[in-house]
Amino acid sequence: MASVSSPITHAQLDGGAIQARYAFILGAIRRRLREMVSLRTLGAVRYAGNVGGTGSDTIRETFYDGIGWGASMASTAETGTTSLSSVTVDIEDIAVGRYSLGFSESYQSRILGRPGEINVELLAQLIPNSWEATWMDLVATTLAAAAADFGTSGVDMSFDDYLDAIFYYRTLDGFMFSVDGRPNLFAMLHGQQLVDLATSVKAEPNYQFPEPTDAQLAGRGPGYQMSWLGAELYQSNRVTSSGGNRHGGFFGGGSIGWINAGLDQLQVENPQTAIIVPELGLVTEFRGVPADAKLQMYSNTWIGMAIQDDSQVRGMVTDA
Amino acid sequence: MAKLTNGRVPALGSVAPDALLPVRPNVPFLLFHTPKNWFVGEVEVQDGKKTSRQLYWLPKLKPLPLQPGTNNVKAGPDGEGPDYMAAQKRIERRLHGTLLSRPHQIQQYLREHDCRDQRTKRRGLYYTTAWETPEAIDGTVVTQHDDLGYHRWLLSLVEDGTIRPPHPTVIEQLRNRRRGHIPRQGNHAHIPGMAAKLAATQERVDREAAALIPEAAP
Repeated sequence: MASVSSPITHAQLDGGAIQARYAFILGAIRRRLREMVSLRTLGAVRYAGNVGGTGSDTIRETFYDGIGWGASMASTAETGTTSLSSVTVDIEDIAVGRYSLGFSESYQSRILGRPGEINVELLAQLIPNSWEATWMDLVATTLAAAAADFGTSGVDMSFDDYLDAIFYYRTLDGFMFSVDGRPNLFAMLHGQQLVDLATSVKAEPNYQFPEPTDAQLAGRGPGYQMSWLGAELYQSNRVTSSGGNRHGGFFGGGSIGWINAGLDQLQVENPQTAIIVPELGLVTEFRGVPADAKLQMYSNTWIGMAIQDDSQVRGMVTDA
Repeated sequence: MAKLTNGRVPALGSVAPDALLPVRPNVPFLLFHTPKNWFVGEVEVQDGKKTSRQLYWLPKLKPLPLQPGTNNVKAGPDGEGPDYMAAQKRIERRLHGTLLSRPHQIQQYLREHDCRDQRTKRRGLYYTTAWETPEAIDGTVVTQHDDLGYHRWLLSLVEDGTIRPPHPTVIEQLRNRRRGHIPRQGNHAHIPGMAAKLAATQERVDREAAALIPEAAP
């Protein structure tokens, strides 16, 4: 495998391990497999709004409690005076940060390039995938800062750790495992955690039967694994590591929120060639640098994510 | 022959690959603690000339990645670090936790290593705690952990009053959680795999029962 650094030049494509003197079959130009997982469209992480044009980089949400189902009536004597209740008002913030990615290519590489070879336009087409990868990085980073954990540092994840988490949500006041028939508890675990979990499950008598054991042990790769004991189980190797442990976790639907900054007010240098994906808040621009005989491509987005309900987010911190 | 500077050979261009960790750059992080997060670890204690090991309930620290756009961390002005004021306020007021954000604390626990992502070849920094020693071995990173050193530091955080000692009820809840695994595993102890699990659980229960609850030094 060879590395082609920006600016992508003919010298690099022609030399090293690629060596353009070989005749390549067009179909042999392939991308390496990489994790392509996003929880974004599930609603597991709630979209909380757009800060574009607000004058602020932060959205503040208000949460009420002590009302409706959160306030049952008190038994009162026949002529007793009713005690007045308070309403609890809580706030949670989410702030955006800027994320960017850029590539460049030399004129010479473009002129001499084979059909189907990478160029900045092809890379620009793939930028929404990079945006989704970034979004998933944010989920993993947000989850790493959960206030409390299950699992034991330096010890492989076990079936008991999984049960501890499930039992926690069972006893969490008001937590719903499903809302309107849709699952509401999600787990994002690293592949290593799932391997350790599957190893632990192998010894469980209740899972000695072929079908559930097969479901546990079968390798699916990153992404959705199964619905198990009330949690929708996802694997993502974007789960972060720190201190020799993997920081996966569980979260209730909507307990993590995300925002973006809409680009309505953005004036780009060259609107004819810029690519804007409004729903993501993603802008990609091209520019030529004739003095250096280079083409450049830059993508920018402004997104943010934060825990919105600490009680519904729990880390699963186990040995890496 | 190249001269070693701080244990590292100066850049040799294309002659020899540089000693960068082959890993994707990550973001710096601050460690924080919340009152319900504790674990049992071994600490070396000195009694006169004799050194022995003692189990303690130690604060389990979590990373707050200083990544603008996550958990209320914002980008600071150019040239300055990220702004984590809102995140700190949230940890302290909402979670009743402790963020270890003073410069001398960060210098104690945070380390940076030069690295290069193997996919994108982007150079950057890879942050670890001071008790992790990552090394590049055959294109992968192998990390050694100084658990005893880390545990000693965690204990000192309680002893010097940085982190409040655990509430006994919290420790009892953690012990109960572990003890709660025994009846389920014991029901199936006739299966060798479960018997092994039960033995490991019992050992951890015993360790948690024997561990001392740290106190702030008078």
